[in-house]
Amino acid sequence: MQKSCLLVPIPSPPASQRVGRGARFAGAGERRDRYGLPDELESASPVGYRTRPSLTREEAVLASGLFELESPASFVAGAPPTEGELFEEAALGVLSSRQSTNYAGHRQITLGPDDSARLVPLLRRLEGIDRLVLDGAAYTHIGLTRPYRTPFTFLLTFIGHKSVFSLFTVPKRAWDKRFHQVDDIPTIGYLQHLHVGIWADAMERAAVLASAGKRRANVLMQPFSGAVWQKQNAAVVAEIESLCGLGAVERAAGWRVGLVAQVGAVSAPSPLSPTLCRKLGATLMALRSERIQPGVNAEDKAPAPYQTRQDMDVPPELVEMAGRAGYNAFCHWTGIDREEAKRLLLMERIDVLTPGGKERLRTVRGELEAITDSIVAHLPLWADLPMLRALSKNAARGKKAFALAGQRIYVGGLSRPEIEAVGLDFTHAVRGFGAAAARSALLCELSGCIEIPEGCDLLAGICLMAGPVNQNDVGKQFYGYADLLARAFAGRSPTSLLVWTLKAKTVADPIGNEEQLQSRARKGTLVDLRAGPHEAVLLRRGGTNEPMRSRDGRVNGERAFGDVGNFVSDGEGKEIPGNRGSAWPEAWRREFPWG
Amino acid sequence: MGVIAPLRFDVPPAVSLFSVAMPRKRNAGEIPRIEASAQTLCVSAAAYSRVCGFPETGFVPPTYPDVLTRGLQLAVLTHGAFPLPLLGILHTEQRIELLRPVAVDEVLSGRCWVEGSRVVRKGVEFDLHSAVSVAGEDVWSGVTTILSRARTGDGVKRPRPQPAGWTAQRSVVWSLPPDQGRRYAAVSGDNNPIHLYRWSAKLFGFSRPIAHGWWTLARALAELDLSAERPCVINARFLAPVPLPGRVTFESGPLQTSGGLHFELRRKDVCVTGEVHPT
Repeated sequence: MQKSCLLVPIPSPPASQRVGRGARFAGAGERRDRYGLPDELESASPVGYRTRPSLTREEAVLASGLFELESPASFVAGAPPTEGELFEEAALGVLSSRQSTNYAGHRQITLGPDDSARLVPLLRRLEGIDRLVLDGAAYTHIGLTRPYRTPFTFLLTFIGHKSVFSLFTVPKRAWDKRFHQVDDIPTIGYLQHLHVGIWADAMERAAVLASAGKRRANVLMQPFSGAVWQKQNAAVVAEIESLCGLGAVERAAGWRVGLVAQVGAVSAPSPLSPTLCRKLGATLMALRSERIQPGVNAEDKAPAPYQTRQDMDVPPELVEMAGRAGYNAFCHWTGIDREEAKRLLLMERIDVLTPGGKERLRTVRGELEAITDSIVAHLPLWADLPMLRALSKNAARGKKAFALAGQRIYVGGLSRPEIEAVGLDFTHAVRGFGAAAARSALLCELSGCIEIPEGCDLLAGICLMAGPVNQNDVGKQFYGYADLLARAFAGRSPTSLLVWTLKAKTVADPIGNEEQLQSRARKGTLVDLRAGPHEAVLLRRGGTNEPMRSRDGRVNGERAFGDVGNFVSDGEGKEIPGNRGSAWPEAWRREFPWG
Repeated sequence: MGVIAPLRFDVPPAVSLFSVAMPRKRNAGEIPRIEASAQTLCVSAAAYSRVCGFPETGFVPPTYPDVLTRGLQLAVLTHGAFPLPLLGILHTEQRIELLRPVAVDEVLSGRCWVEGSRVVRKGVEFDLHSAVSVAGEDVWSGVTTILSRARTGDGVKRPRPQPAGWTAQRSVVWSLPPDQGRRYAAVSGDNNPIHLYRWSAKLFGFSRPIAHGWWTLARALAELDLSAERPCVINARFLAPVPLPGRVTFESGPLQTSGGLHFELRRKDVCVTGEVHPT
């Protein structure tokens, strides 16, 4: 059973420290960097660049219900979904819940009511099913996932080789990655599944918010997790793939069914009002990783608001509630007992506020930097030199990405032997871990939106990072380092999976974590790496898969929940041209896609 | 000059580019009333809607009747009594009155006329009127204001009407491909060389082809997602050409003083501006 969670207001800093980002547009001839606002945004993504709307305490209480959603027990007849509702559900789900913006590793095929009914007997034949398979779904999302591959994993291809043999071992590893989906290091493989868990958890909230509380999602994940279930369910999964039109080409590229979400109307609608659903939807669109703790880890060139420490802290009640939300999610997705979950989720706090934390943090940073130095030192020159040392420069840049700053810093992970000892598939547990991390982070982020003072961007932000864990894993696999959690959980064979850095602050991070995205060559245009619906969502109609919102030469330009109007602007209210987006034609928005 | 007999057609005539481009004797006289009408206008709006971004709703887009009456407009403008050359004319303003929704399967008739002109800063301006009717009932009318620089203007700078206060609620960047002009020409029949190719635009003094004014207006109205079922009045001004390929930002929002909508298309400066008022 899940326990009730509450969002926890965060005390504001003294009035003199209540500042926001205050970004402005670059003047003529002025150098553009990520601290300014981009000249324009051309993007099919539903997200855009948003500000956090301020939630009242009453709204926060109502929103707390989102952290303890149970799977529906049945569906009832309800109004058919409109295209617009499906779009906004996808916006909160597949299009925004993956946290790595350059990982295009999720896709969704949405089946209409007839295909959903055909799917039900297949789902009931699955082994390892951990939810009721429900009749009467209005539609069903088939969630596809593929291995985590980004520019970082390209770099990993060259890491950990012996100098003489690298001429052979690098191509072999590249071949294995491309054609056999073999990961360079285990934690890269886990990333895919962490993301699936994050996505699954987001889908449940997305169904509620996009339907103004009328519909719920019944997400089935376990039968598609891990080698054991996949082997047992291979024949049924092949039929599901056939039903949703997943072909040999996609399979060869590594795409697999990762989850199935049945969505339908429920007899007891959510207590959230339609207005609050829209506000919360717009808020979720605004949440982004917050890496900078003002006055702690800002670059020298960052503007003044980033350079000044703020007298703020994270209330202990918030940390407790975040933990409760995380345990809720882990229990919900793995079916494990709550006390068992507390034992299985390994968390080490390493921030400066804990006894000996400063030294511990310094040790961790030192180890990660030493690993980076080893990587750079051992990169094959035959690959690095022709690329003008791009590989070593990229590897060195990683140091900046491991920004271990915040009032609360945790390393989290699991112990494979302990997970397997309780009969859980490790991959599925990793997914549950991803869901737990995302849900606890969301509670912190929404808490940071309660009664935001005038002129401030937020009151708390969080960054969930896998970078330090991956770096540590490189050290483990190739340079003899121990796991980040090995010291705190000696003798339990821990595998660290994520790092949380939770910050109380009022200044939001700049738009665009990658400075090159605002290069002069692009004249200040921000390149949006986030997918549009036509790139990640397919609607199955009449036996074919059609991209969502690609019609008659038009693709989506609408920002989900844009009616709330929370768009970034400069101090004078001038907005980023193109950021508000356009509206999808109302006639198309109102359609029932399978009518 | 005596009264010119109206031109009557069963369907709008096909006027060749040659007759449009043919040099004509300049005539300093006033523009006489020249009128043309057609009994039947053939509606085939699907391709047009796709190029302009209108959803197919069973009603013709509010800018589409211009395409239907294009042949009549050219018949008027290439009439022997019309005193100005067509090459080099510029579309500066457009007014559209959608009197009632026009279904795609209705039998339409059309007429066009021109009469009179006025001297402006850079030349002479005249209004080309078009109207579309169903069984004698006018359902759509348009007034296309055209600037001809074939005559000397008075050099007097007149104040532009400023939009009433408005707040942007939509903002979107359009990337216009190099063949945008050709795509619109294919569905509208407006094959003015300045819209088609770089080389053909250069012949008329443009370094790059420019987007059709009518396309920018149609695309803007599609972006506004006006319900084709609601009567309205649309006013647009074309202030600067939109070169192809290019990027422009479209912004729109409600006017503060009325129930209308304001829209703008801008590069560095505003290229197209307009308002839509429901009636």
